[in-house]
Amino acid sequence: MLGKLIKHEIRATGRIIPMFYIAIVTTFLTGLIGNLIDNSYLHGLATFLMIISIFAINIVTLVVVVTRYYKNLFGNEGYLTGTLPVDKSLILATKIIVGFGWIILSYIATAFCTFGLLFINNEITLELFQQSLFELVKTLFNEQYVRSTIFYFLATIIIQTMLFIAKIYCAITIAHTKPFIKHSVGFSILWYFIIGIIIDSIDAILIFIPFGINVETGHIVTETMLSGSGVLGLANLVSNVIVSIVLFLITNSLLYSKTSLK
Amino acid sequence: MNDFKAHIPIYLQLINAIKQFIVSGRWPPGTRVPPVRELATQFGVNPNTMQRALLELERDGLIFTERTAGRFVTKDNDRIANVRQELCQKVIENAIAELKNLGFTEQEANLLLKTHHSGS
Amino acid sequence: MSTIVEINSLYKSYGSFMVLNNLSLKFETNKIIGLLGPNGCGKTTLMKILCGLITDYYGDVRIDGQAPGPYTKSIVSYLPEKTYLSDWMRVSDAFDIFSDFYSDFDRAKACELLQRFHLNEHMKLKAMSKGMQEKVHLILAMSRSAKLYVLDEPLSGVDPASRSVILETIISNYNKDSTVLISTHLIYDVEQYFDDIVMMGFGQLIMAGNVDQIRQDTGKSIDEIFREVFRC
Repeated sequence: MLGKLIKHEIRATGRIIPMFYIAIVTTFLTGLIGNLIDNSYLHGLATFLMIISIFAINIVTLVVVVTRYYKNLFGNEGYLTGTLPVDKSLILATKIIVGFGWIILSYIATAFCTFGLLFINNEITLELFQQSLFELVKTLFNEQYVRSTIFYFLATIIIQTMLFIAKIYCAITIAHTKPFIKHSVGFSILWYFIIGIIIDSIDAILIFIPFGINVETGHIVTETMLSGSGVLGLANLVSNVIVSIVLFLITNSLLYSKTSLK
Repeated sequence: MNDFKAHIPIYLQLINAIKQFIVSGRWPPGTRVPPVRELATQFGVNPNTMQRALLELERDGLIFTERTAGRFVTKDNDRIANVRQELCQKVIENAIAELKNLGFTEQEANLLLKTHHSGS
Repeated sequence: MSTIVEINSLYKSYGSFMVLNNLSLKFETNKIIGLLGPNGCGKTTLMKILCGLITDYYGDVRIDGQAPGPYTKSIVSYLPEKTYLSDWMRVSDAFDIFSDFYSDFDRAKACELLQRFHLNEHMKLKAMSKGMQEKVHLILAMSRSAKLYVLDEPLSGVDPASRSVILETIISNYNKDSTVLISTHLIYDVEQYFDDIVMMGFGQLIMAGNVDQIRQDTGKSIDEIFREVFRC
């Protein structure tokens, strides 16, 4: 059932976003052609569009993910979603998985745009790119601190994205419970900020928790980021994971049992 | 789209309608009766109500069921004639009652019926 | 004849407003049941509860012996008043969804019904009139072999000609061992299609029974009784 849900979720949300991907690739090729035939107009156009694309792809992805959750669960489409013969947890899981997927893809698209921008403007060449990649892989195997940093970086991205989705979905769900449903759009935004403030406050305190990863040694240490000896705090990451799970559980329990359709 | 009288049970009105079909020859003796669902759709009624009407007609001997073949109008012409008489009586009684509503007496009403020519 | 729906002491309130007030009902199989009552009497709320859209209630609701959940949703076919398909969909997309999630969906029958209504699978919902969209929704609901069909006002806002076609479609397409629950305002035109009726008012059960029996006992049509009960 989950597979079918995901399939239809992708079908429904993947109608606009891929067009932007195609546009980005086209713009990149335009830039390449512009460079090849020495046409400064094409070059300039491509550069300009690449910059715009970075904003566009992130905004569009966000809008699609958020409005999908809102409309498909609580709008008129909710009459279909809510009567499908599946467990409500599967419905929520589908939204989480597909939403996460699109956002990660938007990061990749952003990275591609950035690379493309630099490439078109000869800030980097293919040679340089190959060299850097080679260096990176080498250091990955040799230098601990590169490994730790990259691990920390990737973990942060994934966890922050998950947390973001958890906050949004939870806020929208709370906004459709009895006390708030009359102004669900306004309360969605309000609750998003309320949840955000609570989490940020917790995070602020957690900086002082001595639990981190030493970038030099790659070991888990009981020091804080503030100790000044190359430590990246892990407490925040762990707490964000826990908070995400808690938010998802709250969302799951409220969904359909305390929420109504508009 | 409601041809049925409001206060009489529908199944009774259906029985009446089908009796008319039979005695008028619209459904000749031995004709196959359409399946319940089709009849129900034709008349615009609930299939269960139609079923009830058909069962009553079977009990009255106007329709019979052949186990695998379905329902058929009886071939008993005497039976049909009897029902036609019954229905005829009712029509005449109704006519007399309506004439009485217009102020005629029972005798006058009877005379009017006997001497009626259409078009006069 | 067995019971498909059993409701005991059902209470549902929206804030301080008691929409369903101690409702107890039974629906049997192989029946077409009319759910009648003025606006706001709780008809739609009752239907939503039966379809599993509202789980926030007090009391006992059983469909085929089970409380509303994924199983009951698989045997209940719901036609809400609102259209629930996305604008961008084609009819075939909607058929895909129903085929994937409902094992009792008969795609061939759905296509046949489409033809009868002079529609086709490739049409986009965006390009259809409201009436055509409603017909598509009706086709989706009636192409399933459900044990319980819950149709919320399938006839309001429909012209008289289409009304007959819709009623015919309902009559000739529902599964023999199932129950059809129809809520409507148009009692006069439609009461001869019902086996039983349930009349609700102010969240409570006012009257329930077999249409012909009621006509026999009271000498009145359901439409007349309704007007008497709810006379302002």
